[in-house]
Amino acid sequence: MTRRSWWCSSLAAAGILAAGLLVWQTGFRQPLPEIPQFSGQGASRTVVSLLTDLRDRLLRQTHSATAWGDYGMALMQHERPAEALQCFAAAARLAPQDARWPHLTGVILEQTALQQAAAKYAAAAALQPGAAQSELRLVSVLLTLGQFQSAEPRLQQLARRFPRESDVWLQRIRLARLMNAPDQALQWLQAAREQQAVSDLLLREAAGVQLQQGRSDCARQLLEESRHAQPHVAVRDPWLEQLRAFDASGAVASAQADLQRQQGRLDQALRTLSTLASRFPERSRPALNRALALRDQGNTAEALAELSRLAAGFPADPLIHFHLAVTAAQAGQQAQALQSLERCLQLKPDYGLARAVRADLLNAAGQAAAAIAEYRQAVLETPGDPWIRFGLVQLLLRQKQLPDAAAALQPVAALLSPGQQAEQSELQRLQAELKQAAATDSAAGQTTAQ
Amino acid sequence: MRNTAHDNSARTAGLTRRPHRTACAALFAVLCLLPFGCSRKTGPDTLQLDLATQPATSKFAALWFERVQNLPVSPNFHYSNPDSFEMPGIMGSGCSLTDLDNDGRLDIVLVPGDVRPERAPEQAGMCCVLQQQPDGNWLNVSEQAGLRVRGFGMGCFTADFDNDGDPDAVTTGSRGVLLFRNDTKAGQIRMVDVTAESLVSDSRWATAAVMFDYDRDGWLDLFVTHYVDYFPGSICADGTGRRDYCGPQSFQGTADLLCRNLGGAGQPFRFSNVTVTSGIARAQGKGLGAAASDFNGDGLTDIYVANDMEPNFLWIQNPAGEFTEEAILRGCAVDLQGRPQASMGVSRTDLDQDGRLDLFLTHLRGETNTWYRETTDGFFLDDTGRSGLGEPSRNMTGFGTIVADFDLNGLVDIAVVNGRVMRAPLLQPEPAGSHWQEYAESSQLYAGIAAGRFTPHAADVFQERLEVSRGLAAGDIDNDGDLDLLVASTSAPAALYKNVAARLGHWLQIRTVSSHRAGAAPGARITVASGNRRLVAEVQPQTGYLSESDSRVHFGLGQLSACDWIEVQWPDGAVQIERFAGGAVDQVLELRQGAGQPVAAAGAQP
Repeated sequence: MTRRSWWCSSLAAAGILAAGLLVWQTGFRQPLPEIPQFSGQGASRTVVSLLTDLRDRLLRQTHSATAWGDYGMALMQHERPAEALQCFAAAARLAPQDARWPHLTGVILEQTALQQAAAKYAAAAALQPGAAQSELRLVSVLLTLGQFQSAEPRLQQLARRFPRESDVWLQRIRLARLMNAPDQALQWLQAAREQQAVSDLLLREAAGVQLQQGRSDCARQLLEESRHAQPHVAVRDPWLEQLRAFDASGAVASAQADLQRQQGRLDQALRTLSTLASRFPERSRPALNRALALRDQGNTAEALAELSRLAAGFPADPLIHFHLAVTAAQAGQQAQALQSLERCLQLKPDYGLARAVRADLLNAAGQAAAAIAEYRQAVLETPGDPWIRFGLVQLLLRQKQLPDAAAALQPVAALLSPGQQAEQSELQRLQAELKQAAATDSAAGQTTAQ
Repeated sequence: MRNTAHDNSARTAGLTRRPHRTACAALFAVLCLLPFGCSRKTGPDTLQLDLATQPATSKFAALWFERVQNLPVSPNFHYSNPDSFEMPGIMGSGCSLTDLDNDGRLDIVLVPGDVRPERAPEQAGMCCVLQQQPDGNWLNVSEQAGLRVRGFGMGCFTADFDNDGDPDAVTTGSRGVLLFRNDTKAGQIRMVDVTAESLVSDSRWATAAVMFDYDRDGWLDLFVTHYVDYFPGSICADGTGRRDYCGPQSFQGTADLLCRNLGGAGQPFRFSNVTVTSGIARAQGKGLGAAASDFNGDGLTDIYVANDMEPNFLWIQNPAGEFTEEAILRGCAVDLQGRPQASMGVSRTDLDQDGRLDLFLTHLRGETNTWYRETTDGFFLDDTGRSGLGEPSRNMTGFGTIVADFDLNGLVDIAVVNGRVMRAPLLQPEPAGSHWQEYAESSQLYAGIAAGRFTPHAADVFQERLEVSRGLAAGDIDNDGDLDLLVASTSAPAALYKNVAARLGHWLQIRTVSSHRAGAAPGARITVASGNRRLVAEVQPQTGYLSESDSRVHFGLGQLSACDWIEVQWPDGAVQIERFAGGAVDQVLELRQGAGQPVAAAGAQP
């Protein structure tokens, strides 16, 4: 072969190689999946709007892992998991080092295919060893599958890397229970104590292990300790938390508004609820919660107006009628209150609390006998509520029906657990009042006799 | 013909004389092939979606059931308004197999759902009662029987409350409980509403009911589970905002109901509400299933309650008649991971035939049905993973369940009826053709292949229908020694399945007769001994989901051809265990309380 022909051959080979690589790059590499459509039938327009926007963005950026991932997260947040899986698969191909995508895929697959979910969690954990959430989910799945030998070394590593996470020790104790190793469970409990990672759930789990072995004294001690231990806090999952940012259904905002109301941040709650009510007029709850926030704020008139409007718009909702009644009573509109309670109880006859409120209104109107009857019915409907019984007892005490009051109060002790401090205090207060009233009665009786 | 010698020599010569050209040709070939050889990437980013688990099926491909046609009940009998999305409508109703007229043949009770708009007012809430005739046909005696429910019907449960020898009834519904006294005469089934005089006042959403003698005074008491504190008119939606049924997390739980039968005071059909004094009111749950049994072996009956998406309850009774909740401690409250599960149907049964009674519960899609194996008296371990019952149920929402030996091979099998409570976009991304198709699923059969090991049974007629199934009852309807099945589905016709499985062994059925009521003794624990084998079961007719099965206890014996002895631990009256002589199998034995040899007091070690 001459040098010239050798060079020609080499150049030709190089050219063919380059062409082959180009073809492979564009044609023979596995194509990205088709961008999933979602069925918007019956869906909220805000959800459809969000998903449409994200899909349109993805159409413009088909090679963006972020675009695929955002669309997938929005689909997942709105319970379109089949479509979300396709998006996460594409995002994972475009950004193979991002552990989010296999992790979220695993969360979805955990509903239907544990082995596949385990593989995804393992992949996520390998990509991001600092993320405990994937490892813990993997361990949880392995325990469910009965693969204890696989779970054990992972838990060892987790305990080394995250010694202060209660969840890790909880899973270790669980594994000890499954492997019938109660001493090991105590060992892990001790280790958790040293790391200040003990929680109520962990102690109860440890107690259960001991009970299973017949070590009831040890178990009872652990149970007693669990009553005073800190509530269990699960390992944070920031990737799942990210889904909330994509919520267009109002669920996240509703939860936020509830929290704001509980924390007394009523102005903020009102703003959130007003937005929700206008976005979702077909739902009663945002507007109802808004009315309750107005009431909490002292704006009774506006609350009353809102509730009246709601009662007309949702006439078959007993909760609306109940709150309309309570608000009307607060506003001094007794007749409206009774009328609304009547409607409420027609819709929900077993509403013990509504009966108790009606009893109070009847009593205020001087109808004590009717009030007592209503309270008795309320107690029947809600036997587990000590406060309704307390209401009945107070009414009976005021009516000087002492034996009936005693009979009504007597079962409450059996209802209460030691942790119910407020209820225990009220019980003691009423018992003292009953005792005082009985003594006064007795003294008055003796004086009369004399 | 080619001159091969020449070609060979030429090729050889070519190789010898032109090594570079040959090498370039080889390189060229390799380069051309390279894109094809390396084109398929596999690894974590390649998703192989296998949404439908494909479990191995049992080698027992024989048919077990065939459907009985032409039950004399309207196919539209059960109705749930598809436009209302009221929660009771998706929870469905149960069914009952019980001998209402005491003629030795099981009758059928089907529970209605919503009131159909076109139905006459007097038919509102009326149960369908089918009386089995001597020739095996069925007669619809619903109006004559007079059984009703209050609100959306849940279940009908029978027991002899007045100890007069025939089964009375309790019906449960979304608006409470009704009680009926059995006044059947001359074969005419008639049930009289005695709710008012019974003093059982309950207007909450009542679901399961179990009748058992908790205070051992010889009179059957009543325990009713309550579901959620439901607010009618509540509007719930799925993640996209599309209207769907509310789930239990949207509402608070409620206390269950325990009523003591005052019959011992000369007042049959009078009850005293002891919910608060017994301690039952101390916990609120979302009860859908219940089982009354002596869990801790102390001779006192305890109560297990399956709560929906909340920890289950195990109420342990003390000698003073008070109950303490201990399910978490005893390992039967939550799953292996400490998570509460949906818990719809519950069966108290010996799944691994080790002589200990376990618990089997049916759950939601995304969970698995759960086997709580009893390890020591009253302590349990979630052993679902090893049983083969887990993964095949993960895509299903299970309700009614029956654990029994359908093919008489000596190993118990399991039937589960399924149906969704909310849409399943992962399994069914596109909207279905009709409302109920969105929630419909097939039923499942599991064949026992070893003690505590099961495999999905091959395709069977029982598994063909796609419906929103809820109630499941079992009984030997044709008195031929094997168990038949009755299925109740939402807004669909009830289905009766005759057992046609090839018999792989022997059987025994035991009818217990209480000395107090000339009828069944609910809660009686029966041990059948044959050689080294001990088979244990209890009289638990109220089992599964909102349903009632034959009160005769059925044992599949496999190759055991005789029975050495039978022991019965009686649940009421004087505390005792009696032993009865064994004998031939393949028959129904009647064991009367007091007719056996006393062995020991219950709660003591025999």
